[in-house]
Amino acid sequence: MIKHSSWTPSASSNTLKKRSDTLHTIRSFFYNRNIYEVETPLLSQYSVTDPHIDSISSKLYQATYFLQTSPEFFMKRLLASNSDSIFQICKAFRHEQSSPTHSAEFTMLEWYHIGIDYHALMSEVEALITPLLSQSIDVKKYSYQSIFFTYCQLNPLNCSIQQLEQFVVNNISEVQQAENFSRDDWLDLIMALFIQKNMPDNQLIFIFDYPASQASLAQLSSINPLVAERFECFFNGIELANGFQELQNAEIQQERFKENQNTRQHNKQPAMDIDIHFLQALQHGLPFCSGVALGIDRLMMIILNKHNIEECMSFSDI
Amino acid sequence: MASYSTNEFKGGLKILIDKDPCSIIENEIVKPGKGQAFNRVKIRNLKTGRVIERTFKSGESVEAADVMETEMQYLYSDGEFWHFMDQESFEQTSADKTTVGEAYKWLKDQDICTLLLWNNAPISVEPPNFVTLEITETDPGLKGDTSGGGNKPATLQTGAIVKVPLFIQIGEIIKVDTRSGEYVSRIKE
Repeated sequence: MIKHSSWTPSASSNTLKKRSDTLHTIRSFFYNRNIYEVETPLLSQYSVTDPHIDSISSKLYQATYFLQTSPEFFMKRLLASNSDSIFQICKAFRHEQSSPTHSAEFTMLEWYHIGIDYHALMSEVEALITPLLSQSIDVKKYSYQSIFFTYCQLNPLNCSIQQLEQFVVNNISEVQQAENFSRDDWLDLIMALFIQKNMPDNQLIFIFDYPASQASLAQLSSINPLVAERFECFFNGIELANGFQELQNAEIQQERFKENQNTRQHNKQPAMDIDIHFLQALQHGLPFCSGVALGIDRLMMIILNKHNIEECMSFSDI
Repeated sequence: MASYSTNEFKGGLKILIDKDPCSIIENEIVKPGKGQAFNRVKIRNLKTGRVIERTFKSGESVEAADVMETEMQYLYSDGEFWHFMDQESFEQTSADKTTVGEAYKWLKDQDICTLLLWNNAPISVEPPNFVTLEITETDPGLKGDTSGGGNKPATLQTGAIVKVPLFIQIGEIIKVDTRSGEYVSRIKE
């Protein structure tokens, strides 16, 4: 579906200038911390196996390549080989429907800080974002368990699926084909459609220690193996950033990828090969680090108080 | 059976929910960066008019509802059914009391109504926006009082009761807005 029929930009010239200023400030932030900028390919023979992230594929002569859904695998290959803290501002692509807060093509800021844990990285995210906002804001940090308890009086780590379903029906809406919902689907639904929707405005909210089943590429906690050392950051209910204390163990990572592949097969989704170069890099050794990805277009929405992501992008054809 | 995937959802799409034909009013896509995507939709049940909310896991499919809107001429009522005719094919169809609902008050022979058909059977009847009907009963008013101060109830040929200005008499024809049920004007024959 072609949305934009006019030749003119979808963002105003003021917005584009502000965006340029913001990118400049972000780059200075990292240069001052001796985190250097890298560029990695947008087209690769591999992409993610994550069943919730679909990649856009592209043909180059006879071969199929994928537009990257994030620069994570390439950046970790750099980390394994050079051991320097790095950042990147690049385009990322997802085979997803666009919405007022999401575009299938978007700009991502991703960085990896060697030698710091995920709590220190949350502070770094806060240090980057707060000066970019015109008003002073509150910063709140909750564990996944405590925010669920505060908003829903449920313990997300051990309540029953029936309790989750009951909460959804009572507080959100009825659900179609509820029998196909997994435990994580219910948790995602409550997070996206209840907790995020009820977050107070003008607060930067961090949620950390996600359920182990949602670890993705994060380390599991050594203190509580039911949770992963993963965090997300929200502002006005919009998901802004996702970070991990990075999993260094190649075998565990391979297991998670295989599980993803099984889920994909079960859901009849396109099969995805495991990025063998990424696993080899982990086997070689990823330094202890934490990394985070942050949506630049959404950050601009917040800075400029815009309600549609298109208004923060120069053009929006998709 | 035709079906739609959630990524085809948009306003106006007709789908079957709980075996009833429904129309999508609003479709909101929610996609956590690392989690399951959902479609939260507001839908109108086309039989009852009730608006409900439903949440779908994105990627699920839902059965399509074979619903179409058509204009038909109202013929007559036999007390149990109201009969309509397609003016091109001359095919007739009948709607029961629940389907006709409140529209019965405005149905006059030969008027063109809008019918919603589901699997070719009517599920709702919409009268024309304006109808002209004869007054069958009302208090004798003050002749010549056209100042428009005050009104009185009047019964129309269809049984509907509307408020009319005091000068309107039995036997006169008036124009009524069926959406608000309000008197618009007197029609001089």
